[in-house]
Amino acid sequence: MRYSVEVTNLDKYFGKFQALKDVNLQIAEGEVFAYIGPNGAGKSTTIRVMLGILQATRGSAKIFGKDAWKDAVEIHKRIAYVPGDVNLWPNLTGGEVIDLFVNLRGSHDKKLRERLITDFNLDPTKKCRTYSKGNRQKVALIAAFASEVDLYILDEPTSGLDPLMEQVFQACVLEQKAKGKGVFLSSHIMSEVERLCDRVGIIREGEVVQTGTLDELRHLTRYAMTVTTERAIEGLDRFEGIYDIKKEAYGLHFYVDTEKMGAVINHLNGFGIKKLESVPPSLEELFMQHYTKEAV
Amino acid sequence: MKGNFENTLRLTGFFLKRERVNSTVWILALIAVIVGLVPGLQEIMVGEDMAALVSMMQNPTLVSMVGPAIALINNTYGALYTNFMLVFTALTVGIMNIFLVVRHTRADEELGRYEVVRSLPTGRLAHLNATFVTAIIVNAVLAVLIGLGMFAAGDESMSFAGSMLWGVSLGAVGLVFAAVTALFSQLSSSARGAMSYSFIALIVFFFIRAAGDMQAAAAWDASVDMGEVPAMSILSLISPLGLVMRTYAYAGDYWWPIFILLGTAAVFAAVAFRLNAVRDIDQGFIPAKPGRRDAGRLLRARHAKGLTFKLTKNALIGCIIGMFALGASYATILADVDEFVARNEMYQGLMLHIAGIEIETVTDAQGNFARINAWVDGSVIATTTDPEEIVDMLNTAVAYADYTVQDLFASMIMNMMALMSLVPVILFAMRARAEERAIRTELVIAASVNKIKYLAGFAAMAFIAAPLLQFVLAVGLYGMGVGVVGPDILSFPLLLEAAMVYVPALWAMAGFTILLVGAVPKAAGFIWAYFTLSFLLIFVGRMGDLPAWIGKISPLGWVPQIPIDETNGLVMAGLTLAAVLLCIIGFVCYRRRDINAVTN
Ligand SMILES: Nc1ncnc2c1ncn2[C@@H]1O[C@H](COP(=O)(O)OP(=O)(O)O)[C@@H](O)[C@H]1O
Ligand SMILES: [Mg+2]
Repeated sequence: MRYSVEVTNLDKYFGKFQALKDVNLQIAEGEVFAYIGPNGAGKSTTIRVMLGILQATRGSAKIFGKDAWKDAVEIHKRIAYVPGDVNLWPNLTGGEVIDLFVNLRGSHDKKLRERLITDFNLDPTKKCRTYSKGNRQKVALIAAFASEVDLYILDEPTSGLDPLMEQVFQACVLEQKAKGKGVFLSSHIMSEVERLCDRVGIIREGEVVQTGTLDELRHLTRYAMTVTTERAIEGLDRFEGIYDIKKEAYGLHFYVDTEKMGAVINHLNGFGIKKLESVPPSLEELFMQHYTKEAV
Repeated sequence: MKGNFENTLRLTGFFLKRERVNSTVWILALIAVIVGLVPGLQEIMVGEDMAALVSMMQNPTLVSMVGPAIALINNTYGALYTNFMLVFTALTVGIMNIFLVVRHTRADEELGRYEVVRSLPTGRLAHLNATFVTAIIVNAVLAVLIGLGMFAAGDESMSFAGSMLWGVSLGAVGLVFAAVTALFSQLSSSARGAMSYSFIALIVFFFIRAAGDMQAAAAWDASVDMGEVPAMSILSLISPLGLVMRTYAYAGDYWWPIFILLGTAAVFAAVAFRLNAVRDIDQGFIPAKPGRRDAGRLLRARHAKGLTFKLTKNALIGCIIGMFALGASYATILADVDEFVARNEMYQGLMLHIAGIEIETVTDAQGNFARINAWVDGSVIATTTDPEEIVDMLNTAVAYADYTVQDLFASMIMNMMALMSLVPVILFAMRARAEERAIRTELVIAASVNKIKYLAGFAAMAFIAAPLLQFVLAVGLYGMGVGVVGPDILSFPLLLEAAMVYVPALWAMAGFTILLVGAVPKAAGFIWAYFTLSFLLIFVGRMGDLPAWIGKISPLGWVPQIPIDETNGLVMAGLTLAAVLLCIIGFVCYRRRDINAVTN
């Protein structure tokens, strides 16, 4: 498999403070990867090392097989970056900034630029000083998607967009995905992650605690179960991997580890199941577990 | 690493686009002033004795401000102009470059724009490199235009080569400060820090030069007449602002200082590149001191006054120190006032006018000079037969009116210094507008702070600052003055009164600022035009014979000149009342209008 991003045993110190601890990431070409974690976890720091803006203290970051620090200029011709907090030059117009970015990356698709400006509903003739946060973000997003690149690195790119623009953004990402382009997306918006991403990596306090597809991650967590049986259920509390058993009028409610599910259902069968519901954890719950606890 | 500078040219083009307003305005303003003053000053000097003007340049205080008396070298208008203007123009060009470079380096980095540029296919050092190329282009354009302009506007003493040297000197000094600023932009981790350190460097260089020039001032008296150019102090030569004078533009035209300046710039630039290459983004080498964890007592108060005070406190302390220093530095002139006055008819006239003394030259029947009489209130109070003794006579006349020449001189320069106090006073009032433009006002207002109280906080700072600044000014002037001329000559109550009578006028200007901020925020910058007008009225009003009412356009024109005029309670009360009314109208308008940074 060819990788667009390979981060290996990456450590980053700011003075004595260790912002990244042995981070490893591998992202296949054409993959849409979500990078999530609480504020201050180290997402932006990882991205800045990948961009060759920060130098790794130990370990390496490779993009398209090239060293992120040494070959930054070559790499940057094939990537587009959008930061979460976009600041632009107050006395230039949005259109001017878009052209600067696109031209520096060496692509000149006027038609694409115009289409994106229409889609994102931006007035490119206004000075950047008059733009709201969302509008500044639109400028950066248009400049990114109007460039012909192979990898998009987006650091919480939609934090200022309204739901309508969020849709436009998602359409843009899916379009790039269809073209086989890779996307590295750091985000807090779970619906966005769920809809767009092939794989997810979770970082906490500088450590990547989990990577995998959404299904794989779900597999590592618990389902909520509600069951009604003909006879009273007994012996459930003897099982490992069962939590929070509550007696309700209709029967029992409890949580169960995904891998124990089969055994539990077998056991329940002995009491004559009338009704069984199992709800997979929402993405929110999934992340909350990872954000708040040690890795499961 | 290869490709460190990739895309420098593209970025430069982009930076120049960003500079299309800023640098253009700077360059045009500099040209307007520097080239415009060439015929302007000459006009004023028509009829004046060139040798007398040149010898005025030997005054030590003037030397400390503008540099050694190089006009002595050839006694021409061109040399005099260089003597008078070059150091200050170089200082201004330094300021232009500090702003220019911080704008493209630390400020860009602080706001995350540098990060975005780095994520594009640009070399690691391209951003800094493009900043330098931009600075080179801006300074080169300035150099050429100033050179051509001076040549076009000058008289025959201002040669083409000398004019070009003038322009190029400015460009070269500009590049030195561009490089120094680039260096501090690497060292400090904030734009504010980079700016402060660069300004401190500029000021230190100015004073190193001043010390050196004063040291060598004695040498510039005698030997120059013999056609020999005296040496400059080594202290002057290690400061770019001193070295620039060594070009002796229009008085010898030496080019070697230019090469030293450019070499210095190159060295600083090289260090800046090196530091930029080895440091992390957003990081500096001078550690930023961590801020407080909690709001102090001031900030915890349930109104915005604490915040306002905190925002302006350091500035106020700085201004207080500055005004004290200004007073003290002017006081050093007091020792030389006699000489100054003896040499300069303009000052004689002015001071006599201030003292209310009329001078009458009496001739005998054959039309020959007989004597000079000094009149006060219809009677002759002093007389002399020797024109050389005019200063003594002046002293006698002035003593009759119970003043010393030093008192008169101090009160004469008082309105210039009051203008200096006015700058921070206006700035404190304008801070309300600056906060609004930085979109911080709405945060404070939203935290349930009454809008009027919020604006009143800034008005209060301006109102408090005015008497404070004038007071330390008088203290500085008196304290240093006593050291220079002894305790008997100066009167502190008199100086204090002369300073404090300006306070109501300063308040009126503060009130006007508040009115503008409240009523026409978009046009609040107009206050600076009004300030400039006041400045010109004081300057020009002195020189020419403008009708008296024109001076009254500015509040400063109403202020009595102590000790000649009496303090007029009515005028004081009127100005104070005007200040309060202006503020109240400003508050009312402010409460009614929108807070909006973007559209107004
Ligand atoms: N330039 C810096 N100097 C010191 N500490 C930093 C710097 N940049 C980031 N950090 C610290 O590193 C940690 C990770 O920050 P960051 O990568 O921005 O987090 P995230 O993007 O996940 O919110 C934080 O604790 C932050 O304070
Ligand atoms: Mg971040």
